[in-house]
Formats: sequence, C-alpha cells, structure tokens
Amino acid sequence: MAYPNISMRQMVLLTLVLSLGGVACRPEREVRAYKIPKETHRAPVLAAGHSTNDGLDHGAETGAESSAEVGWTKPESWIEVPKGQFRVASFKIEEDQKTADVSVVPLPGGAGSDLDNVNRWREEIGLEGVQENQLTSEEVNIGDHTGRLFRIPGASEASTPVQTLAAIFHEGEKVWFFKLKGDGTLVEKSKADFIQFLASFKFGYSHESTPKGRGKAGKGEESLPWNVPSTWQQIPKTEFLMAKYLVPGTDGKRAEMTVSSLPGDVGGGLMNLNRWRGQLGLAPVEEDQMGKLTSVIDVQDGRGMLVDMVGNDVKAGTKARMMVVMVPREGSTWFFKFMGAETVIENERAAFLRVVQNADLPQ
Amino acid sequence: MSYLLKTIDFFTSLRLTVVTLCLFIVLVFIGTLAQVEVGIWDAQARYFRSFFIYWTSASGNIKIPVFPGGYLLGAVLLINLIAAHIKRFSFKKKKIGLMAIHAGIIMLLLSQVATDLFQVESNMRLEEGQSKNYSDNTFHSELAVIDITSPDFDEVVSIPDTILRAKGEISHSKLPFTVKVREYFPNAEPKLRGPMVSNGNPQATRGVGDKVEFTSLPITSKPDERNIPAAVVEIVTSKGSEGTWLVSNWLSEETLAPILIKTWKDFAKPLVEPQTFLIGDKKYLVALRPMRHYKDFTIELNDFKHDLYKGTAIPKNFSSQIKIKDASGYDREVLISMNEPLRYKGETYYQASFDKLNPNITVLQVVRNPGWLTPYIACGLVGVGLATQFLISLFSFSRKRKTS
Repeated sequence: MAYPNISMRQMVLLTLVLSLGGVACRPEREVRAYKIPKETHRAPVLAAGHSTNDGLDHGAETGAESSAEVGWTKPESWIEVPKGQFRVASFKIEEDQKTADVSVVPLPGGAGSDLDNVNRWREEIGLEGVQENQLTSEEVNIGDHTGRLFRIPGASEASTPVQTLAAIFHEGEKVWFFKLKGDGTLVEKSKADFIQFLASFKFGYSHESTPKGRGKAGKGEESLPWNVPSTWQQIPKTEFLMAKYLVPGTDGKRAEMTVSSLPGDVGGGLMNLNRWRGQLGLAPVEEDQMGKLTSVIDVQDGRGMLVDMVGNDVKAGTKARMMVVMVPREGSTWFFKFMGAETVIENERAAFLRVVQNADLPQ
Repeated sequence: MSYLLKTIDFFTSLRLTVVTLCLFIVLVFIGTLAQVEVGIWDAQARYFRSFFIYWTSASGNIKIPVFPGGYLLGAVLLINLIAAHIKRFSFKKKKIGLMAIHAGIIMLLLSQVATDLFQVESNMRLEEGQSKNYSDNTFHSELAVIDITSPDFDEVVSIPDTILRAKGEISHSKLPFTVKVREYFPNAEPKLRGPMVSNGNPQATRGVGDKVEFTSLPITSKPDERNIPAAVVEIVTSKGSEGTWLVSNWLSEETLAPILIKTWKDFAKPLVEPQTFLIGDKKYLVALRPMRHYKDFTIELNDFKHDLYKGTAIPKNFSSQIKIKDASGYDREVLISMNEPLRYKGETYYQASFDKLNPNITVLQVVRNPGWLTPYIACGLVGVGLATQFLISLFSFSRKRKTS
C-alpha cells in the first residue's frame, strides 16, 4: 500500500502556514497606519451627540460647584480674583508687600483623609508630615455646619515663614476645603477675618447677581416628584443623590433627608439593611431577622420596605435615628433616607412618611 | 519506516476518532461548568481556544498541562479525518455519501479554525441622526497616535493593546518619534487629582496627568463586567523626551466619559478633552480607545425603535432604521431588527442592544467572518451525504429484495 506521506506533510504545513498567517494578520496583533477623512476631535460626551438635556449633570461652565450655588460675606480688604478651574471662590490679601491667598475648593469625593491633606499642606511649606495622634484642630463654623480648622505654621528658620490656615468640611462624599495661605504674620492677622468668612459661607445661595451656566432653573424642587414641608430646606446634594433636605429641630438639633435612585436592586433588602446598620454602628443581621427589623409601607403604585433604627452615627459619633424607605421600581430602586437627632426624626416622622407615600415615582 | 507506518496507522485509526470525540465531550462539559466561575470569554480562551488546559499554582509561577484543549483535539480530529480519508480513499459510487459526510465534517472543523483566526467582533453605537464610518472592537483597545495637522485628513497610527501590554518602545515609519509605554494597566479605575488632593508625583507630566490618576484593578472575566485599560506613554524624539501622557478608555469612550462627568461634574470636563501635542510643525493627538475598524462607507441611524408588549416591560422588538452611504453615491435604507441582520461588504450587522439611559441610541454588533458561509455548506454536505447514503442503501436493499 502506498502511503501519501508527502501529501500529508504538505497538508499539515499548509495548515500551519495558514494559521500563523491568520494570527499574524489580525489587527489586534500589529501596529497599523491608515489615513481617514478628517474627523472632529471633541470630548466624547459631546461627540456622542449629547445635548445639555441628555439627563447628565454637566454642571456650570467653570468651577466644580457653580458660584451661583454658594455665597459669602468677605472682609473689605480681601480682593476677589479669578477662580480658576477648581475654586468656587478665590481672594488675595495684600498688606505692606505681604500677600496671602484664600481659596474655596469643593471636591466631589476621593479627596483623601484629613491627615493626608494636612500632611500635604505641611509638605507645601517645608514641614514633615505628622501622625494621626499629632493632628490638632479646632472646631469652626462654616455656614450652618461645623468643620475642622487646622493651623500649620511654616518652618521658623525660613526667612519669610509661610503659614496655612485650612478648614475642612465633609458634606457627605463631598469635601469642602477653605484655605488661607501666605505670609505668616499676615495669615495670623487675617485669622479672625477668615473665621468670619467661614461663618458667613452659604451653601445653596446665589452670590452672583446674574446666575450663569448651571443654575437652579430646570433643576428646582418643582421638578421633583415629591413635596416636602415648607420648613425643610433643600441643600446642595452630592453626586449620587437626587435631592437633600435639612430638617431643622429645636435646640439646634437637626436631621437630613436624602432621596436617591440607583439602577437595579442595589444589592437587595438585606445588604442595604446591613449597610445602614453599619452606618449606625449596629451589627449585621441575617435574612431571618429581616421580618422583625423591617415593615412594609404602601407607596404610590406599589410597596416599599421601611426600616427604623436607632444607633450611633459612625461619622458624627453622636446618637442618631434612621428611617429609610426602599422602593423597588422597574429597573431601579429608590431610597428615601431620613437620619439625624432622635427628637427631630420623631417629630417629623409623619411628615417624612407622607413625603414618601405621596411621591409620584416613575415606574 | 516502520515508525512512520505506525504513526500513520495511529493517525488514521478509528480508535483515535472515538477517543478524541470522547475527550471533546469531557472538554465541553468542564468548559461549560467553568463558565460559571470565569465567565464565557475566559472559559472559551482557557478551554476551547487553547492547546492545553493548565493547572496553575497559587503563585502563578507553575503551569502544568492537565488536559488537551480545544485546538489540540480539533487538530487531532482534523488530521485523523483527513488521513483516514486519504488512506482509505477509493472512489466508489456506493461510498459517495460517506465521502460527502466526511468532507462536510472536515469543512466544519476548518471553518471553526477560520472563524477563530479571522473573525472580528465589534460594535457600532449610534444615536438617531448620527453617522459613523467605523465600529469599535469589543475586546481590544488601541493607542491611537493621530497626526491631525491636515485640514482634510487624519493619519492614524494604531498600536494595539497586545503590544502595549509588553511595555516596550514602539517606532513606526509614519511617526517622527518613538512611543515608550511606561505603564499599562489592563483594567484600571480613575481617581481625581487636584490642588487639594495630590499626593506624590503625577503619573504623567503632560495632558491630564496633573488632574487624574489611575490605579490598577484585577482583570475581570465576569460577563457583566469589563476591563477598562489605562496607560502612561512617553513621546521621545531625537532631541529627547517630550513628556509623558496618561491615556485611558475612561477618558475617550463615549459610554465612559459621561460617567466621569456625572460623578465629577466640571472636574471631569478637562479630562475628557482630546490630548494633543506639537512635534515640529505637526500636531498629534494621543488617545487610548476601543480599537477601531474603519469602513469605506458610513451608516447613519434614522430611527431606533424599542417596542414593548402593551402594558408590560417585556421587549417585543428592537429595530434600527439605518442608511448606508458611500463615496460613489450609493445610498440605501435598511431596517435591522432582532432576527434580521444586515449583511454588507463581508460584515453582518446585528441589532444587539441599546442605551438604557438614552432611548435614541442603538448598539449594532458588527461581525466580520470571512468563513460565515462554510458551516452552512458543511452542514449541507453532511445532510446530502446522509440522504445519499441512505438512498443508496435503500435502492440496493430494494434491488436485492426484487431479485430474491
């Protein structure tokens, strides 16, 4: 019998050559050069044809937080200067050829810890970093809120010591930085003005006479499908929230109500319950305990899960009560979260439930 | 010579066919189960598009082959079929059906090899009114270095992620500089840098380097997740370094950039602007983006419909009314719907998806598979072969019965 040895070898060789050729010619394995008709090179958001009505929050033309949403009273001697990209307010202080700079910068999140920031400011003026236990600060009023004020004196051996006074305020995920930096003596002298400026700072207020870019128009309360009591104040929200309200109580006590909507089931009831329990310093629970800790609440066109818990606010370190209603909708889940001082929550409990039950949420 | 004969006997034996088919069954079983853990793409790569399945030590340093992979079994079966066919080849009328069946199976195996080697999957995302002359590769990204100096055309040098991964130096006759890949993260997440956040040196000295940084994430193979790459590249001319640039699909993709804008608002705006630089009198743009496959025609989306069954959220029909145009004046309207793809110039356009946030955006899957017809021909051959063989046997039986 004559075996076709050569034919088989040739066949195998041909298969190998074709395979290697095929692999080598694939575009993902070689550098290619080609000429194309002229394209418009723009930011992909615009290139995709999104208009300003695309549902995305494009924000104002400059600055992270439009200055149309903040306000302040500045000391007379401070000179307002162009804000630049990150600042919402920027001032210069000049006296006897000494200068200092004041800035207000909000960051939407991921801004690092207070210690990270203080150490970075220390590095800026030639100082070594400190440990957490060496970090000192004083409480300071920033508008209606309380923040931390850090004093960072420059190296004493420097010929013109630079000093930094910086205040940090955490508004949920967002962090507000207020910084006074410049000649040591001028900064020390301007400290009182700086503290006054901080106290005068207003969030959710139009400072500019002519709002431009992103304003309240079209994004106001009237467009939201729920109504809150007139005593509740809408305040600036973080990026994942649809709305945020300050609910004032007596003796300076208060609570906050937030509304958010996220796609999908967002981990389901148990995961969220345990997440909220974690925020109140409570231990996680198992599925079989959910019945005891939650109740069903009727809402428009459906039902929601109501949670009412008391614990210690892990962030603030104070006792707090939290009420949350989680409303599943087609493809998304809505959260109404009411958290703060126990007395305020108790007094406003009925109002909160009315807000939730009357909310006309999209299906 | 006896060794060669034994080898040929081995490759032409029916026993080898049976063993290979049994191993195939096992492979399909374990490969299917593996999809639960590693996802469909990874399972395909590990079990079916490989010569061996490896056991890997926890450290990843030791790899031991433990089972034949799809390529090896397919190659053995192919050789077995061809060799057996050649060895036993003798043209007889009554075996014509069997030959057709074998030819069909061989063609089926070869078509799978051709599909693996030549098929390119990409997608085209279009908003109503928008037109495009390219589709984006589903799995691969490219570093596009584009000479945008001319007002009439762009000259693109595309460096694929398979080359970027090696972090080497890339030169090309169309580039008056070398591209050095300093860092490459197959999967990365962005973190905002800013005047109040910056710690340590920026990852890049030019472009968006002072505004954002990327941290590496483990490569994901979950079907509902994807890897989003980032890289730090340095441009080096004969005079020295021009600086480093930070590039990522996060900054260039039309589905990802809006996420940054939504999360970081105005901070993200400068991040998603094109990054350009000058070398001599030429202006270049650098971006990491999904690998593009350009066409010599454009597709414009006229209308996208997402119909639901009345009173429910159950999809009834997705369809895209598109218009194909090319430079020769060709202009044709086509409706692409869920079961009615468009086949045009060697590519098939399927109605694949749509943008959940924007009901006016359609996503078409574009598949270029030069061998797409071969499975149909192969199955036809097998079918004809089976029918022929059956009829030959039937007639032969009938004749014998008559004569008896």
